[in-house]
Order: sequence, then C-alpha cells, then structure tokens
Amino acid sequence: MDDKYFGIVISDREFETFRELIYQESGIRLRDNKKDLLRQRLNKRIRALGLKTFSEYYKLVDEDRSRKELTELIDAVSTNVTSFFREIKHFEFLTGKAIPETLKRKKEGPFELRVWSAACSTGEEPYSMLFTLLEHEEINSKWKIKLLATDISTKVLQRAMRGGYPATKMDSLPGDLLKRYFDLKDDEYILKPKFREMVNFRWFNLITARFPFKHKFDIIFCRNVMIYFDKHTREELVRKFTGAMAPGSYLCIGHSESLANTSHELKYVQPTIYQKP
Amino acid sequence: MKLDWGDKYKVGHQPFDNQHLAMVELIWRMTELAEKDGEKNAWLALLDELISLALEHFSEEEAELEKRGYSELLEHQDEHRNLLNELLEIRGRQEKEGSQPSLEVTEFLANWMAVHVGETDGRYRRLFNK
Repeated sequence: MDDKYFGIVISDREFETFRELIYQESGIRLRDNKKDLLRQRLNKRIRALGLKTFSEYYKLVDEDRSRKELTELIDAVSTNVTSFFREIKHFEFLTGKAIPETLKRKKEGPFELRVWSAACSTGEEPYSMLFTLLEHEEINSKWKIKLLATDISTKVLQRAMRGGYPATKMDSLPGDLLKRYFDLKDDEYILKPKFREMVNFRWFNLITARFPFKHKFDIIFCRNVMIYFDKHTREELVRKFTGAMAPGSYLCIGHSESLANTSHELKYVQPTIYQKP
Repeated sequence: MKLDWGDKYKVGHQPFDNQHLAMVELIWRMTELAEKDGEKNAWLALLDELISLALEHFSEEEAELEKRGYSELLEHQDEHRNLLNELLEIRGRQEKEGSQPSLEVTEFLANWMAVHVGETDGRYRRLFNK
C-alpha cells in the first residue's frame, strides 16, 4: 500500500517477516519501536528498485543469491550514535591498566599488541583505540600494533575506511590529537593516510561466522551490540570472544550492557569491563 | 564507592538536571544499602522507585526533545529502552533468586548514569542554550 504521507506502508505481518529474516542473518532482534525506522529507511530503496510493497521487497531479498540486498537491509537497521572516545572510562582503563599489563605479560615477546574493535561502526571507536595506543608512553618502536576493526554493515565500513569526519562532530577530541592525526579540508577532518593504514578494516558477521583468528587478542571492544541479542545469542558470542582472548586480556562492552545474566567464564573487573582468567 | 555528581553532568535544562539528581540520589542510597548488606525488601523498594523515576524522566525528556526536533532522538530513545530492559531484567532476577543488595548492580547503574547523562545527554545541550 502506498500512502501519500507515509509512502509505502509496512503491515505488522510484513514487519514480522523482516524481523525474522534480520534475526536469522544477523542476530539483531528488532523491537516493535523499530517498525517506523524500517519503513522510513527502506522506502527509498524499494522505490529505487521499482517495487511497490514490502512483500515484494522481501521476495527480492530472499531470492537474491548474491546476498547484496540482504546487506543493504541490515545496513538500514543497524544504526548507532558513536563519537571519538565514547565511554571515556574504557580508554582511561586502556591507558592506566590494560596496556601496561599487556606489555608486562608480553615482555618476552611476541612484541605485538592485538586489539579488536568488533563493531567498529564509522570508525570513531577503532581510531580512538589507535590514538590511545600511539599516545601511550610505554609503547615504543619495538612494539607492533595489530588493530582489527570489523562491522556487519558495509556502508559504515566504507565510511570508517575513508576516515573523514565533519568538523562539527569533533568536540570529544582534544585539540592536540586533532592536529596530530587529521588534516582539515573543507570543514572535514580527514585522518592522515599513515594512521588510517594502521587499522585493518574487515566485514564480519559476529553471529554466523566461526572465529578464524590464529592469534589471541589482548583487548576486545564489543560495545552496543549485545543489546540487540537475546540471552542465547549473547552467551554464544561471549563464548566465542572468550575463545579468542589471551589469558589476562580484557573485553569491554557498552554501558547499557551487562553480563550479569549471561553465563560466561570471564572475571568481572568493573562495570562493562571483563577479564579472561 | 559513591558516584561523584558535579556540574559536568548539567544538561542546560533545570527540570532534567533535578530529575537526574533524584535518580543519582536513589543510586547512592542503593549503594549504601549494598555496602552494609542491607535488607532485601528495602533494596527492592529502592529498585522499584528507580524504575518509576526513570520511566517518568525518560518520557518527559523524550517528549521535550521531540518537540525541539532533536535529530538523534531515535538513538537516544534506544539508550533509554536498553536501560529499562536491563532494569526490569535485574528486578525480575532479584525477585526470583531472592538475591541480596548488590554492588555489581549499583556500579552498573552509576556507570550508566555517568555515560548516558555525561556523554549522550550532553549531545542535546545545544538545544537549550539558544
């Protein structure tokens, strides 16, 4: 149905089918209040494809064997506000505790810091991690920084890899860091190429993928992801993270998230920070 | 440990500042109770009071932000919903398992307030500074 004011309307039943599909493919459990968001975000896409209803669009997504359209769909619903040094306590924790401990733990080598931003969105999080590592006085040239940044949305990954941010969104970044790491060009701050190249961006589905990592991580950030998942999916994900963590390493989750009701083998350190024993 | 609540948490709108402080004061009382292994019923009563304060404050704040055409309203609402879900889950668990006042819970709440009010609410401050 095409309404003059709302555009193409989505029925409750159609919303259910999309909700199920998105859950199966990404683990993201859409709440009822996301119905409007789905309608708004997909209207343009449906029209662009020359379709008339959400059901027609569902059929197209379902039958698209390249899975390209599915990626478009997940992109449309996985949004988050992010900014540099969001949840500043995590970065203070890296500087004051996680990094010095890791350096000590690895003092006999290998001289590598393995860090993963598991839901990196448009890049503010992994770049904040990178700045924190580069600014740390105990990390000298003998240490190699291996920073992996992944996300399920290809669109945000593209933006992250470009590393350009509007000048109006840089409030949370201290002036000296801004100068050191970015070039200002037409009201946009663009990360200097040599820093951009230090982060390894990859598309990655935390839910459906088997974790393929040969080496264990020292620090993992997975923030504002588990809020989308039910208990079972959350437990499975934490189990996979735990398997990929070095003993003594840390997992940071978002401020609305807690593992209190999730069975896991990590040690609670402080709110939203957990350590592998 | 008590959460420090200073001027940096002011959002530029007095009624909201007052509501935030009321929530923080409740979390302080819960912390005190947890520190001295306080009584379970008093703890549950405080938790219930916090849930109703949060509900009231969130809906007032969301209505005001909507009225002012705030561009990040949807994401902001999400953070509210996520906390409420977590609070209800904690409430259900505490009642079912009969658990005692818990510092892990009060630390979670204090951290949530610090991040949400200090960082997320801070993003709408400019709406009130005109």
